[in-house]
Amino acid sequence: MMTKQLTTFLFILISLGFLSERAWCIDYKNTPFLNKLEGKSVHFYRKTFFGRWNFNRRIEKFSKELDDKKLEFIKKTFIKNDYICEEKLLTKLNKLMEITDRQYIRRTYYLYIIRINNLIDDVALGNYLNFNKVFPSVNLSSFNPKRFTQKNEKPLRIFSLRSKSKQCFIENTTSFFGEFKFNKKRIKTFLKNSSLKKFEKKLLLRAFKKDLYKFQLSNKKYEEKLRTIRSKISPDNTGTAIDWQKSNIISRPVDELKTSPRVNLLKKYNAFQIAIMNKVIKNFQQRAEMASWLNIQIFDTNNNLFEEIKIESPTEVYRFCIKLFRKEMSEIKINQLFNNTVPSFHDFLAASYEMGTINHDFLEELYKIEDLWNPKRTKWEKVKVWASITSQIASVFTPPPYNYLISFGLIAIEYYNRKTETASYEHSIFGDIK
Amino acid sequence: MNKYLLFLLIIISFSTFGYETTIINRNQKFKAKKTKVMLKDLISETHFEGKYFKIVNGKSNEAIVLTTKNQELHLKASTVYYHLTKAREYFINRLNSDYVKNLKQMTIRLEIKNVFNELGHFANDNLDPQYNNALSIPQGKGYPSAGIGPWGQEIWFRPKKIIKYKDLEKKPKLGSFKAAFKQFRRQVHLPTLNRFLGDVFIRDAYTQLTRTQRVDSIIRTAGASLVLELLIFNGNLIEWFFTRKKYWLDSALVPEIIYHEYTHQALSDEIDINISSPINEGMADYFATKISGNSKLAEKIKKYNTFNGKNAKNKKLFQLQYETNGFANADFVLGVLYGLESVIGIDTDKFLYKLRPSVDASSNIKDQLTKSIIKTYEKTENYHPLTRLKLMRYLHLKGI
Repeated sequence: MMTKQLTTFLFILISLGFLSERAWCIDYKNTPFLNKLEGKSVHFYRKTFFGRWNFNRRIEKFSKELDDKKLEFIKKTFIKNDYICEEKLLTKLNKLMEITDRQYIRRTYYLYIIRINNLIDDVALGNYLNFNKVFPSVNLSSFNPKRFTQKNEKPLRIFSLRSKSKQCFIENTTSFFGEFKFNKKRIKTFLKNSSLKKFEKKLLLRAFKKDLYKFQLSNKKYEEKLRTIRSKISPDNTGTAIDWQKSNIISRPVDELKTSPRVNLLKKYNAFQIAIMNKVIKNFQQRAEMASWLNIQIFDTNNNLFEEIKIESPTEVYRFCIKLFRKEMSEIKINQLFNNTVPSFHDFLAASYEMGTINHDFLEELYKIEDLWNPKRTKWEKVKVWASITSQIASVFTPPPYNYLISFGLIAIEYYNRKTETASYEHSIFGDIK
Repeated sequence: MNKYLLFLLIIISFSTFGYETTIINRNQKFKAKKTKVMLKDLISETHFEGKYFKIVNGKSNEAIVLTTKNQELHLKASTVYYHLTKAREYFINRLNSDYVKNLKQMTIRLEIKNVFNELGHFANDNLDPQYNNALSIPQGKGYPSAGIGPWGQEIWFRPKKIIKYKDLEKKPKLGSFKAAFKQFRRQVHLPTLNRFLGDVFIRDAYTQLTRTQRVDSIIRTAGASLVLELLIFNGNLIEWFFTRKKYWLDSALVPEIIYHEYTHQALSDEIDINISSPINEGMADYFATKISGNSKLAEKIKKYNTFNGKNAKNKKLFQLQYETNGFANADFVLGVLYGLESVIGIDTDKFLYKLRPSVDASSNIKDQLTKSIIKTYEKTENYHPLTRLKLMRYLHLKGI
């Protein structure tokens, strides 16, 4: 047990050791969530034609309101703290665009436009959008520490002090509710007996009811995590800074994740876990790009080498690399640092892209490798299955000879869309890599 | 006077002629059409003899005359000459082939039925006459003591012969009609007598039909089933009825076959043409598609070829039998080489031309071909590790 933990610790140290000090030349001063990696936002995908049309229509419409001039104003005047606290950005946006709390859709699309201009990324945008649903704006000016002099009002005094010291609302309310161990009854009783005004009680109660304290990764925490990750990013082997490119692969919605791979990665994993996943990809990349041939040595029970097999076939080398890669990915799942999480292939991809190990082209290639394991069915294939089932049912209820026509149609469809043959790989030592 | 005569002789010896004639050529839709073209580099004003190709009939060493009354032979000679010139220019202009540039005049034999003999050049006329084929011949030293002189590189185009279906060695398999009808029977739920009876009677029990309607329905079901059974029983006969009954190949009139044969000669500096193997046939097929500018070989030309053509965009996956010479003319290797373009890009033909020294006719697909693809790529100027990885994935996906 002890040895295993020590190995894990050493593994982390080695992983991080490779990543010397930063090469991330990014403007942190004012835009902490500047998007350098994500392509089309996960929030911009619409499933229906109408949804897409409406989205584009509104973006076009609201882009005229939040125009280049105003965006330039945001770039120049909004400071880091405005981005880090969700409520501050919304308040400033409301003020800049002169909109009321009720203009929810307008505010939402203004946030989208800010994302289109890459001033923020998807994690930050998600946080703003969620906060916008609960509090379009937060006014805490009435929370003065001097008001709460009673001994039993200490939590409120601390809350007011923190809000005066510009702490973000989510962090502040989380600490406040933490005083009551997030017990609804206790919070309600406390607020009832406090000297707070009605709208103030309502504000805090709403924050509790809407589970603000359960925010998986608030912008404040996200900024800290991002700083930790980026401080570990090293220049590439040649010593030059990595050429960052935006990629749709890490920002596209993935059904099983219910979000994009990057958002999922940053919400689910800490910097250490990300570094470990990155190491697996790095190993694979090195092997896949450099391995030329394999040598298998067979020893007898007395440790004497009695057979040596040289494998020079490039496809065999490739299959070996992929199989080893898959094995290493599975081993991560039993790593103690990943106790309650099972990293998926998307997580590995996003981790290595986040750490700058792989560039956009290699990311695409890795993404295609996943197709070997989980081949995707095309739209036509899905339609074919449904058409076939429906027609078969219809043919039962249709009287002859008309049911014959349906059946003939089915045969014709199947004939012209026969399943493509599958490779046997009977000549291969490592076999198929599915 | 002598100076003038000498100068005139030099001019005549270096001058070439053009000749306008009709050939079989592909149009933009890849259809084979008779087209008027100008043959170039002819050194004779009267014969199909050019600087690089001499077109002869059968075993003759005399070039075919331009004014021959045999129109079919004239068309073949013109077509072959034109397309060979096109293929030669491709190797010189596109692939910068010094070997092709320095090739001596090649003899092209039309309508030749003799079997090739490595010692005697032509086998005896009575020995197994050959039809519906084309062949590349390496140069030979001859057999002087038997009065057989040396010969240079040659391409032989066999005459066309109509073969009846029953005489075909490899007949197209019948049975697909029968299988389709059987599947159809499964789809209409009549595979067994029980289900048939159920379908006839039970279906009607659920529907509230009058007696006449019920009888009518039963007759219709039974009648349709009877017709279906008859179709299944006679499936092969029906299929035979629709199957082509006569087969032929006029190789001298199919442009891609001409390109294919010339490619054998153009690559013969590195790849032996004595053996017909999957690798050298695949390479010849690949360059034939590049010269013709289309992924299809010997297709859409039913007037001159009724056998199956080849398609470079086929989705065939590797099977061990493709390694055998019996499958030399399968289009698997062609598909693999053609598909490399999706990874390497537009200069794949240049890449594959560079690859030829690392393979030979006896190379296998799964080890030597794949290895030479990767090794040749590693030596290219635009080498990128990611493309190497993509190549490996591509070859894996081909089932190799």
